Amino acid sequence: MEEILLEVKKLTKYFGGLKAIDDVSFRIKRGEIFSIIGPNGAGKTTLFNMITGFLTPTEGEIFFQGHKISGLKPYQIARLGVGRTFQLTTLFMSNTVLENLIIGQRETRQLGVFQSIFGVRKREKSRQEAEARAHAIAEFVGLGNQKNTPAALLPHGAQKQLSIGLALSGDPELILLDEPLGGVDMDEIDAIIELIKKIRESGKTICLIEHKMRVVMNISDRILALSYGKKLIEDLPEVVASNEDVIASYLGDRYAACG
Amino acid sequence: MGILLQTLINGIMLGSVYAMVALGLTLIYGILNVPNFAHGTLYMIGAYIAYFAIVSFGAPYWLGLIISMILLFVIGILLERIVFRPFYDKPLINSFIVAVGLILVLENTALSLWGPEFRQFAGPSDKVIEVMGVMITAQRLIVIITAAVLIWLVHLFIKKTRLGAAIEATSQNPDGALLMGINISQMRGITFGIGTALAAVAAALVGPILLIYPAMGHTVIGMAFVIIIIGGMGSFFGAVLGGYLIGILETFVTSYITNFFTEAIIFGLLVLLLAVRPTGLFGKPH
Amino acid sequence: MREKKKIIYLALLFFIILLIPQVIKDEYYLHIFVMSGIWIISALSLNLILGYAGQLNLAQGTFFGIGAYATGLLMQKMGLSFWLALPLGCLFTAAIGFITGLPTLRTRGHYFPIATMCLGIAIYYVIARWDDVTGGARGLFGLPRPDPIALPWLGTISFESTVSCYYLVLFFVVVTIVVIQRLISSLAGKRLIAIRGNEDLAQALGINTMRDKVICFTISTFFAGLAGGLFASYMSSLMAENAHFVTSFEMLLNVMIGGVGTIIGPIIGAIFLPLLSEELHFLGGWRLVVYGIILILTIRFLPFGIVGGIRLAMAKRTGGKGF
Repeated sequence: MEEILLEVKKLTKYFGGLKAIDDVSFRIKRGEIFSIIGPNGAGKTTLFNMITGFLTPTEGEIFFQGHKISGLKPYQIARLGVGRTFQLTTLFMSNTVLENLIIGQRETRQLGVFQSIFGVRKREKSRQEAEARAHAIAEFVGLGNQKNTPAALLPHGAQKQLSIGLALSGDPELILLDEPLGGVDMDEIDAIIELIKKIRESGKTICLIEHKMRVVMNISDRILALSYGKKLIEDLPEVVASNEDVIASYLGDRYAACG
Repeated sequence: MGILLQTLINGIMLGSVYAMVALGLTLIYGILNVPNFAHGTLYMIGAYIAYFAIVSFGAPYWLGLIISMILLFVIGILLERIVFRPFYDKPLINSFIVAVGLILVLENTALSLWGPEFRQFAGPSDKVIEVMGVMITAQRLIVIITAAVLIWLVHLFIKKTRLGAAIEATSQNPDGALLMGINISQMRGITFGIGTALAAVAAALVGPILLIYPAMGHTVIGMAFVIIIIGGMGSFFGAVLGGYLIGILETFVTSYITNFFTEAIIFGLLVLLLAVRPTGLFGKPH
Repeated sequence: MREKKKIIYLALLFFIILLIPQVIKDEYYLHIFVMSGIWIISALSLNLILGYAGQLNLAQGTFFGIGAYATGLLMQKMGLSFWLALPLGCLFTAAIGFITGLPTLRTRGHYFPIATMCLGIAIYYVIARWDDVTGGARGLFGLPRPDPIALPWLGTISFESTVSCYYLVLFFVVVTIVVIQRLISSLAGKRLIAIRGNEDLAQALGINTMRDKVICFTISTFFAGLAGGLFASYMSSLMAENAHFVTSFEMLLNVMIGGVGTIIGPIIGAIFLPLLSEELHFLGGWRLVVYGIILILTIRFLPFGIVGGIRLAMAKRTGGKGF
């Protein structure tokens, strides 16, 4: 019996009169790469925002490792073991790669203010551990020789790598990647795909939003397809790829009718 | 009953001034996304220009008012281009400091050139009119009516003219406006001019009733901010409604309840309002 | 090796600062130095919440005033010694900071400065109108200097002279610098920098941004209160104007013109600007006009203040290698 890491139950979200997410339910199993696809405006990022606490569901619940997380604040959900990237590359632009990664560490979250002013040993030890882990993650995501480069000066693909590194820095169980290949050059795509596979091999579970269909089909264990906020199908890639509704949602009904 | 009506009329008059100043401020904020902290000081300059036009050059009242309005429109455009424009992509603090610098320059120039004495100029009419048993000076009526007309005109301008539509588009969606070929810089400049001109008219209207002195902008700017915060920054309706309400509220409180801590309570409540509804009652979320 | 060089320079600098009153005996300048010290503490306090946590607190001057009045009143009305009144005054200011920080820090973007501006105005009017307690517009008079204390080796020191106050203020400046530096250079300091950089991202990384903002705000007001308390005792009189947002503006200028987000920036600003203001006195009424123009020009061309300008110049010399 595989372990269910994330369970989304009958999630609905209204923005004023607009129903952005309509009764969506799905499950993510531990260790898998689970992708969410759908045309623009289907509600994918809204789902991410609800899972990570940046939006509150109007109806429905979200469970992570059995705990109800819907309604919690983003930092609380992050601490439970959920990391994420953002659709628009979001980094601490005026800080270096290393500084970015240090910020995300557990030690950084935990060091109390009192300790930081009056402490000695714990203060120093935490700093060393955070730095060591930041170095390790920089290597892991492939930025080992850019550690002191300010984030703003990194090329776009490297910025995507750094944002993935940031998502990893708190050592989460589940990582949500929002369009990690968005705007990335052809030569950099492979590097990021390899990175995603590496992350899965290291024992983490990945939930992906991505538009590049060939990548999604190749890399995913299971796929959720959305259209206009509604769930079309949640199944294996080959099943999803041949599903009429999914094809229709991307290409319009006429194409689907042509078979 | 008479006192009630008198107070109400005074409240509406004060509210008219507040509404105009707040409207100018909110228009500027709506399109620039920067609160112009120097707005009150420009109001003061408007008062002095009207004063000098009327007293030193002997212009009739309405001409003085129009001169002040036009001059401040121009000054507004210049200020937007020279002082505020370099800071749009910078953090808010920088615009704030620039505005403070502007206040220092304008206020102290006024102080050095014209001294701290209180001045006043006469309105067009000394008449006192009786309405429902209450005596109102003509000037008060002039303020109320002129303000209402002007606010209505600005509303029409924004809703019914192409330029107004362009301004509204720029304030709601600068990128979209740019794509439609609207010259955003021009829109910003014009709006700044209009906002500042509104303050000038408010000052010229109220000149015959209140006193003119270099620091007169302070009282107005505080209230103007209260108003646009409550009404929502960038909201036309919020600024105007808020202006009238606050004017009436303040007048009634001062008349019926002399309270040492009025300001403290008003501003304290404002802090709480912002904590609960950070965008005010009608404002655009930031 | 560079660390050692730095320490030697700092030690040398400190030595010079220690010796200044032995060399410069002019009361006028000594007074300016004492005031600079007080402004340095207040500028550093503002820089903590502004330069590191990224929150523009426009009421810092009001907290300065709260600290000043709290310490002053504790001495005058409750007869407490300065040495007790000062820490209590700081704690009181920090308590007010904590209480007011909770609602105001819930706002985001432009609304936080506005909320703090309203807060500052509200508290100012309380101070200016509460005649019975604060003396209203008249203010407080005749506040005592710190009681003489006995120190090992140095004997009993009284604080009637400006020189002694110079050393007293210097002591607190050092304490302030050390505490703030410790906080900033720690992992907790990194959290503040994260909040300044992008609060949402910090949240997504598990940082409880509200808690850190409130703590930072409280510490920052504590030090503002410290500066205020020292001011009260040194100047021995207070007016409501000391809690006015003009004071907040001046603090803001010291930080911004000096260079926000660095330790040295606010220090430079807090020394340079009051000095500039003094030197411009010969201009009479036009002094503030010139001051305003300098302000506008500086923020326009040196947005990172004097320190930023120096760094830029140095980076240009090294061919842009320093970032």
